[in-house]
Amino acid sequence: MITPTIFYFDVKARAEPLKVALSLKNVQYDYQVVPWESIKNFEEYPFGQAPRYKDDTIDMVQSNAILRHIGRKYGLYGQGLEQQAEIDMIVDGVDDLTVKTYKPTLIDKSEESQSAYWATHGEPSSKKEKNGGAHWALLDAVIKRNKGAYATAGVTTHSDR
Amino acid sequence: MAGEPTIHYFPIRGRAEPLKLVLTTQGVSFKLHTLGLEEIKDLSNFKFGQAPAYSDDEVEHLVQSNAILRHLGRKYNLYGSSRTENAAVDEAIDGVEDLQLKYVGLIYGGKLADDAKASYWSTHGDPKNKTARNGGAHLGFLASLLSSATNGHIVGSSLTIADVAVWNITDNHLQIFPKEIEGEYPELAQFHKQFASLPAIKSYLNSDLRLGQNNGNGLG
Repeated sequence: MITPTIFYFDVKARAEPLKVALSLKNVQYDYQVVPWESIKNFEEYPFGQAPRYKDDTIDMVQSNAILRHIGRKYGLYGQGLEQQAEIDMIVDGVDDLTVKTYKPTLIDKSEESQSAYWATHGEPSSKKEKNGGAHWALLDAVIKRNKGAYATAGVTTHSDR
Repeated sequence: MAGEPTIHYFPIRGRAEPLKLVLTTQGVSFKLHTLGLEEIKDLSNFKFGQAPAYSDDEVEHLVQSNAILRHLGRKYNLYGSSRTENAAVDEAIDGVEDLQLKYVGLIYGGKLADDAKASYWSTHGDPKNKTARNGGAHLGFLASLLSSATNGHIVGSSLTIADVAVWNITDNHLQIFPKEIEGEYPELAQFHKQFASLPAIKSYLNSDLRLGQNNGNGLG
């Protein structure tokens, strides 16, 4: 019997929603820290990227695909087509915002970079401007519309960050 | 008719194309509601200020192109036949999306300038650079998905939305790098040809529903 295992680097980043989801359902899992070079093994990392996830039925990559698998397996994916569609929409919207967050948090942490981020993706008055669908106000509205229920772990973690 | 499948989008192929292809393979009639740029600022209908949006008897103005693709996959049974296959479909779609984002950069940012194209092919197409840093975005990864395909299907032995996603991104790249893909990734070229020759798809590709403009700036 394989214990669910996350293979990733020693950071929170794209593994964090997976850990939160598993914890919500009290699933015991292992976390294996892998060195950078190992992700060039395309047998195990088909897109040369981590996280990778193994359980008794799958061995896969792509953080959101893993999140969806965990959602299906442990009952965190809603009931019925409408709820599943809504969840997918939120997960995709969170991803759009996540990639915009890399610059001010990882690449250029200057005040200028962080204010520019907030102006485009956080400042409520700018939500209708060009932002690639990535704006905190949009996410907030969607979650409020759903009364906070059934937002997947990805959203919870991202809001914490 | 209330709840008739409707795609709300600009008059381009863009991110609506995979959705139209999926519906076509299932013989589902759909309406196209053409949008201008201003309309997507109506956040009550376009929740992230973006298109496409999709409406049917189960969803109303659902947005996020891949969420729509997955909804169609669930609704029309094109998502594989087990959780293991569902996961493989999702993995492929996410991999396609990583490359799609880079493609969008080449179209709207690089504007298909010679140096932008050369740099793009080097990073995301040249087989020699598959192990270099590319953000998981490389045609070689998609070609590898085909090496374990059955009957020309990437997951399982029948059509899934993964096939449509990979076909569409291959099609996008063939418009720009036809010789390179035929030379380096004959399996992708063959997969593209095979899918395009399915009767429903062949008919669609020759119809008015297949719009002439692929991207918003007319390139690609």
